[in-house]
Amino acid sequence: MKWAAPAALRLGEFSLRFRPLDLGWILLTTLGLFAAVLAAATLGSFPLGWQQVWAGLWQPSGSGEGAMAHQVLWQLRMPRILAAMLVGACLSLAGVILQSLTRNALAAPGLIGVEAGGSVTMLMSLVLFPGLVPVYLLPLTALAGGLVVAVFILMLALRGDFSPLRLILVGIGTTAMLQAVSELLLTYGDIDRVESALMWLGGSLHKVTWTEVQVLALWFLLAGVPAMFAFRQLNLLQLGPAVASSRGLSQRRTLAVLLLASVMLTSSAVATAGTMVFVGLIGPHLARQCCGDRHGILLPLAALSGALLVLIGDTLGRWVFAPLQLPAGLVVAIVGAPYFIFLIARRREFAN
Amino acid sequence: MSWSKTLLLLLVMAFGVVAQAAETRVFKNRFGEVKVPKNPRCVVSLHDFSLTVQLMELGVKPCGSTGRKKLMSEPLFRGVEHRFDVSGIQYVGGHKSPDLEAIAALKPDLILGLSYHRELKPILSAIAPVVILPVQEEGIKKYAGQLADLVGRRGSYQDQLKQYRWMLEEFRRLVPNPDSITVTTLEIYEDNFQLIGRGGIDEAIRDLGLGHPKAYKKARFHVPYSLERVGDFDADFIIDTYEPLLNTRQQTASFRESAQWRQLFAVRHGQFLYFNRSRYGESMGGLLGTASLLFSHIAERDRVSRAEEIRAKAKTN
Repeated sequence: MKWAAPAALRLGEFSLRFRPLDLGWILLTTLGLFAAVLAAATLGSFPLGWQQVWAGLWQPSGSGEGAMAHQVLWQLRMPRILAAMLVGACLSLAGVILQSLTRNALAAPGLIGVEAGGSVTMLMSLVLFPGLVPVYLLPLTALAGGLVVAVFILMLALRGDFSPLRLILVGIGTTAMLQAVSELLLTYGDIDRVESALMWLGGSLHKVTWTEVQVLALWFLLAGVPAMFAFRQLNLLQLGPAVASSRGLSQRRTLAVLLLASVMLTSSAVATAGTMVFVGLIGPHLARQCCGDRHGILLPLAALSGALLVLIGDTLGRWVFAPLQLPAGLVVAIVGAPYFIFLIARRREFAN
Repeated sequence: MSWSKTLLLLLVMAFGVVAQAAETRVFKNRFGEVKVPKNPRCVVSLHDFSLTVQLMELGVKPCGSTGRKKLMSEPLFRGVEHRFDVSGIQYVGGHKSPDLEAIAALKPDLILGLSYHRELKPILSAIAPVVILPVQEEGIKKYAGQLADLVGRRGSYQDQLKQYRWMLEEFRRLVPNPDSITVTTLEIYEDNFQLIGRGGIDEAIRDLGLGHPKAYKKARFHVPYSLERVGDFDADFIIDTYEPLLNTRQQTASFRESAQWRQLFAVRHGQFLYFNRSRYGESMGGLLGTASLLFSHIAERDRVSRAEEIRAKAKTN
C-alpha cells in the first residue's frame, strides 16, 4: 500500500527509515501521553479544574487564594507526573535492550538481577541501617547495588563467547539469590521499617520531589537518549552473532555498552520508584504490537508506552481510592496484566 | 448596641482571631527549627496511634489525621476511635503513605509527623510548617511535652504528668524493690514472637523501675524470634497484647495451649497478663492507663517470684 511505503529521515550521518504508519503510532502514543498528563494534572484529592491547571502552568508563583492550588500543581503533581513518565520510559527502554540482546521475549530488567540488586541495597538502607545514608543520597544506594550486580553478571556472561542463554541463566540465579536476601531482610527486619520498605517495594512515587526528577532526567539523558541511537546495532544483534559480526559489529563492546545503559536506566528507575518489574516487560511488547522489531521506531515507541503505563498506574493509584494511596507498580500489574495477556493471546507469531 | 457598633465589634474580633492565628514563633527540637503558628487553627497529624490520640487528650481536635483503612471499609483512627468523638477529623490516608493532596485540601497551618516522615518533609513543607516529634527517639513524656507547647496546652499536659508521677510514687511506696520483679513484654504471632511493648507499656515499665530477665536485656527488639525461644524470656510477669481488629487472640490460641507455653513460670502462676494492644495509644493517657493496669496487677495483688522458685529448687536438690 502506498501509505505504508518507507521514507527516510536523515540527521547528519544518521539516517532512519520509517513507515508513515510508524509516525502515526508515535503521534498517537504522544497524544495519549499528553491526554494522560492533562488528566493526571487535574485528578486528585485536591480539586483543580482544567482552567486552574492551565493558568497555574503559566504563572511563576501563586498568591492569595490560588497559592495552595499552585503549590499542589507545582510541588506535588508535576514532579510526580514527570517522574512517572521518566520511570516508565527508563524501564521500558531497558526492557527493549535486554529483550533484543538476549533475543528472548521474556527478558526484562528484573530477569538479569539488576532490579533485585538495587532492591537489596535499598532494603539494607531502609531496614538495617536507617538514617545511615542521608535521604537525598538514598537513590544512589539502589544505583550502586544495580551496578555491582550488573558488573558481576556481565563478567560471568561475557566469559568466552557471549551467550544470551548464559546471560539469562546467570541473571535468574543471581535474582533468586538476591530475592532471598530481600525476603530475609523483610522477614527479620524491624516491623516499622519493613512497612516503609514494603511501600517502596510496591513501586510508589509518593515521595518524589523535583530533585528526584532532575536525577532521573539526568540518567535518562546519559543512558536513555544514547540507547535510542543504537537502533542499528540492536537490529543487527537481533539477526544473530554471525550476521552482526559479518557487518563489522564488535559484539563484546556493543553488548557491554548496551547492558550498561540498561543497568543505568533500571537502577535510576528503581532508586526513584521501587520495583516495577512488569513495566520492563509489558512496555516493549505493547510497542512491538505496533511496529514489530524495527528498533528505530521500537525504542522511542517503547519509551512512550512505558511512560504512559506508569503515568496511568500512578494517577489511578493516587486517585481512585483516595485518600488511600496504591503504589503505581501494583496498579500497573493489576490493570496491565490482563490487557497484556489479551494482546499476547491475539498474536499469531507466539503460536509456534 | 446599634447595628453599626455590633458590626464593628465583630470585625475587631474577627481581625483579632486572624491576627492571633497568623502570629508565628520558632519551634526547636532535635529535628531542627520550624517557624510555626502560635495558635494553630488546623493541625494535621500523620500518626493516629502516636500523635492524634495525644492531641485529643490535650483537647485539640486535628482537622486531619492518617488512620487505618482496608478497601471497602471505613477508616479507623487506632487508639483514638473508642475514646473520643472523631467526627470532623478528615482521614488523609495511611501513615506510611499519606495522601498529600488530601492534606493540602484541608489548608492546614501545622503538620505533625514522626521521624520516618522526614522524607516527606520537603514536599509537605510546601503546604504548611512540618514539625517532626521524637516519639520513638525520646519517649512519650518528652514528645507529649513538645506537642503541648506547639498547640498551647502546656497546662493540660502538666496535669497529665502530675497524675502519672503520683502513680509512680504510689507504686514505689507499695513495691519497695521493683527491680527484683522481672517483666517481659512480647507479641505472639502464629509462627514467631517479637519483644514489643506498645502504647507506652515499655516506658511505663521503665518508669515503674521493674526489672527484666537476663535474656530480655540482651535481646533485639521488634525482630521475629522463633516460638521455641519463648522460654528464654520467662519472667515473673509476661505481658502479651492482642489486636481485636486482626483477630490475633484467636489466631494464636493454639500456641497458648502448648506445653511449652503452659510450663512458663508466669503462666503457671497466673501472672500472664493479656492486654488489648489498641486500648491505649502512645500518649500520656496511654502511659497513665498502662501504669494503672500494672499497678493493679503487680502492686495491688499477691504475686510469686521466679527467683524464689529457682532458689527453692536449688535447695531441694
